[in-house]
Amino acid sequence: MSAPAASARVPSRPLAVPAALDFIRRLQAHRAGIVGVVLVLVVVMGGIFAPWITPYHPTQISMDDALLPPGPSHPFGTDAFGRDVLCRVLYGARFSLQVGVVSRLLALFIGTFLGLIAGYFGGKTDQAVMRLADVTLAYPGLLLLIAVMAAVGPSRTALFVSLGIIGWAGVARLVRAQVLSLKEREFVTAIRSLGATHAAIIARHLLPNVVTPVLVIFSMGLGASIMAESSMSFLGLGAQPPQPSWGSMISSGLDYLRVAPWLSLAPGLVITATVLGFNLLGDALRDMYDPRLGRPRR
Amino acid sequence: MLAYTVRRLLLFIPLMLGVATITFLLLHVLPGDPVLSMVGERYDAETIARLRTEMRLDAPLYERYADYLRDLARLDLGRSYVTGKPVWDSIRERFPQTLRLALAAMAIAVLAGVTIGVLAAWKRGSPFDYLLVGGSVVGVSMPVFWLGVLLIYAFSMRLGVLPASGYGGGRIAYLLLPAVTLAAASTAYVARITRSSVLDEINETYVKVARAKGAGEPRILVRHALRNALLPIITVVGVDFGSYLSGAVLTESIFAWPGLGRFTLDAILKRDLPAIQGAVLFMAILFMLVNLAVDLLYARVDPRVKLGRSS
Amino acid sequence: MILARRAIAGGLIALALAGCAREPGTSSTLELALETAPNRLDPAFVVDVAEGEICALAYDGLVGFASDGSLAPGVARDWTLEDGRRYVFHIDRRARFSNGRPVAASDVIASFERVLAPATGSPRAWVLERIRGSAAFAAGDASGVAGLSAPDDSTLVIELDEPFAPFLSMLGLPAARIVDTRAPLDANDLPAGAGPWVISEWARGDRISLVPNPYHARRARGIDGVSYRIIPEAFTRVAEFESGSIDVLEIPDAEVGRFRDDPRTASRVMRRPELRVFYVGLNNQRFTDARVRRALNLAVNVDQIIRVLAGGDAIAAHGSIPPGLAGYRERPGAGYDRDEARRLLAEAGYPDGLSIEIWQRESTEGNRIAEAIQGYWEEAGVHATLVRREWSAFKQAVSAGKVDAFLLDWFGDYPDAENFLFPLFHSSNQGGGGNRAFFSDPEVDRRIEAASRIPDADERAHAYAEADSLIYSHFPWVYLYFPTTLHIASERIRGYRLPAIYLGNDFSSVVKQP
Repeated sequence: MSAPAASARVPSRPLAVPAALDFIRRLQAHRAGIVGVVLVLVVVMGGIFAPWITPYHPTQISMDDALLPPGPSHPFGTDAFGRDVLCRVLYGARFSLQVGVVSRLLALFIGTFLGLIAGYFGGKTDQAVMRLADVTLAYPGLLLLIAVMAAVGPSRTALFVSLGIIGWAGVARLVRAQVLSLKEREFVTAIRSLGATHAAIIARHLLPNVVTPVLVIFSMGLGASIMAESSMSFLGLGAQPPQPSWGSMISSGLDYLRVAPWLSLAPGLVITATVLGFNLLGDALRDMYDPRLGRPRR
Repeated sequence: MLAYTVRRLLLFIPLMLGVATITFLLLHVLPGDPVLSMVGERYDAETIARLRTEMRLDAPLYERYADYLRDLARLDLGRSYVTGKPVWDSIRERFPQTLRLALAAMAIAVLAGVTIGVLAAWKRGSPFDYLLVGGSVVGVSMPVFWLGVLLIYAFSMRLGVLPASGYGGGRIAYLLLPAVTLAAASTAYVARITRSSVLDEINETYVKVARAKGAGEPRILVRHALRNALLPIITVVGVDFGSYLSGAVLTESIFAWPGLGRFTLDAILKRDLPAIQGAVLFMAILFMLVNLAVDLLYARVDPRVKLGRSS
Repeated sequence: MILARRAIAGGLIALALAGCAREPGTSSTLELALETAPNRLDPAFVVDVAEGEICALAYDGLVGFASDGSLAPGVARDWTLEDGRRYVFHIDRRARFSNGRPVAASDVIASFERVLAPATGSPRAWVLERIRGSAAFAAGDASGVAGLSAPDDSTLVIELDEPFAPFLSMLGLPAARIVDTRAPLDANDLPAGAGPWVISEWARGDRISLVPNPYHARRARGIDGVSYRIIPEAFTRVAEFESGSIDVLEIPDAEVGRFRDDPRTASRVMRRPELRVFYVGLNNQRFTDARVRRALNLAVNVDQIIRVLAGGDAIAAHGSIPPGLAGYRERPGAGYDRDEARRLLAEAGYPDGLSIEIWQRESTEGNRIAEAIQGYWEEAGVHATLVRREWSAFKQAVSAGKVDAFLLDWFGDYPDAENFLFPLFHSSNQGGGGNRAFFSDPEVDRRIEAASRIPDADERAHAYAEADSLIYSHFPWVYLYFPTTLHIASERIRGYRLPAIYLGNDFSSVVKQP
């Protein structure tokens, strides 16, 4: 598919504070974006402050309290081991967010690096990187993930790495397209004629120009990463018990759907809300900063 | 266009080689022993040694890789370790079910998505619009496995109107829930694209109408809008269709649908190397074919698209 | 053997055998459900419970199992035993393969040689390796098995190297079932069998259908077919049963209470203790201090696990021979005593507790048990990490003795205490043979060997019970429980009997009402 031609953008590095103010100013006009930010904030805060919000321990069993329905002391009820479901949902946010953010960052680093190199040097390097990207994109990613996890054993690190490796190709394509159009612009040609090294040109002049689209892609992909994590955990190949994770809570709750529906309903709602939050936020960022970007590959 | 197609098809060869090599290396490097999945709970060392020799698992990695490539060149995917059947036969047996589910999901995504999108644009700003748009955003954000469970719970267990699982010998009723589950996310995207295209068209038409003082026929309006929406819809549905064909592992598991995704998952859990390699390669080729088809369709629909400019 | 995953019997109002549409309610096919798809149904290759259950329907052996688990005649009408190692079987003249050809003694020999021949590649040759001359035949040094002979068409003589009492039961295993080696394989690549059913359709990953073998004496009269559907998710299987499209459901642990305590369904719930034991195998080469092994047992509240996770319907294991087998004894268990566990650990040199990895494979009920054990151990200061792997990676590590502890269950293949004690605790079976706890005790070895040579059934059972007590006193495992299986049949099904072992189904008494 043809990549959109990137427009000119002046190299600049805005300071953090003005950037945040600018973000808030732009966000005010974007109602869905506000909803997204609120949802994301609630989940992030819930994860961070879990130990202060809930008096329970996420992994300590208390079998005499098994399968209590939602009530004043357990707003989301308890699971088959007598653990508080709300508490586990809150701690589960930590795991999901961690996996989502880290794996996405990894995809971003690999993708940006290879995209920059491919776009800047062109020729054989470009060919090699892009063919590798094609192979990655054509590869049934979820199955790859399942095969790796089932054999080496599910772990946080394995999730980070596999999800990251699956996601790099999309980022690389985008970055490369941006670089291709930048490369021919006068300022780059000028700098090169002044004798700047390749590394310097890439780091000082090309990289800053791809930061904005890459950040937009980052937030748009977070929801997908969290979804992938929960799918893996649902299949028993993500978080390992007793580590709370939304996907594994749903899957173990399914067995109790008729006797204790809260076990799978609560984490399902929370995943939906979280992914929704990131999707809305991602869409808003795209509308606000880079309307030409398409939706990310899932 | 023919030259372009041929060039793209030729490019498949190195890509396939890449996919095959990655799968091969990965599977042979990961821990786990396929022989152990074949022998049950109780076995002796001689049986294991004998089977390993028969399966050539004791040969050095490069020899096995060479064997594998030689077989591939002869279009031979090998025999499954666990069933003893040729892998290609199993793929041929499972693929029609996956194709059926994928086609149904695609049809739902396009028909429901376009309908919802047009209705929402028509009633723009109304509670109805918000409901549809909101619903579609939520639809994208729901994990498929959870949605599938909710649908079974509602339609099979509570209402009792649709079968909960299975292929059902091909009857439509059995297809509905899995297809809807699979299509949910794509439907929502198609709806959003359609809505915004129609809205753009309406705005443009108002301008024209104001200029020409003519009447804007709604049907023409929708037709124009849809033509604009066609390209993005093809992109979305094309990419998703490719991934549906890669076997919707989760959906197929929940609905006990005997497709390719479930087949591959079983093969992975049983360490059936030839079956995994064959299925993954087959899926990758399908995915590339669908991508090629999308690009060709693109050029067909929009003459401005030049093929072969960038990958 | 333990099964990768359990077979579930469910039944369902059927789609027609060939998959064409027939309205529910008009067919009298008994529809059952399986959790995992069988890979092989050819008796020489069958290795797990789901495969074994279906295989036993289509293939009779010399002997088979009645639904109560007792040994029953198969194609052999009767048999005699001389010297404890020479069996003479008389083949039933009525026995016929599904293609109509009568079963002769030479067919039995051909079937056994097929399993033993290396060219076949059967993973289950061990079932027949006690027959005299089987090793020489397998090695290619003999053209036939010396211990197998057929004086005439209806007489078969089997000689063993030495007396082995459980041998007769082993002849009921899938690998010892009779196939027609003269006829070509059918459309499903299966040989013809002499069982009450014939596998008519095998849509992989979807369903397996069977129709009655018209030549079989015990063929079913009340149903005209059996169909197994593959439904991986327990949740979906229950939904299928509730929506009326499955006749018989193995009730998942989580739902036991709901079906058993509801007056509308309670009367249709059938329960039967399984020949199966759940345990946490401890690596006895690593945990050499008996106090540590005892402490790990004391730290787990098995009764509570049974009550909360197993629907309250299981029996705490204080030994490995399950109730339902001769050799089972009720004996006092270690009990649940967290403080005593801590004290023992401190005494053994772990005042601050210790760290243990518990390996487990993919299995829903197993996952829950492992999680509970992890929780109990944590409270006693034992920090446990759960390690989950797919089946072959799990087996590879566990059978090599590379892990601290593992959660597993063991199914009886044939109803004999030998099938528990010998593979699980004899030192010759360390690793892949079944003794994955790497337990080794010369006295235990001696007793297990001696018991297998005792001809008198009661004496033998007593010897096994004694050996089991001795093993239990060493605590090679954390003993969990003997599960009970609960099935529920729809109102249209009559005469469905829950078999004591998975090879004991024949559905000859089942009637499905329209």
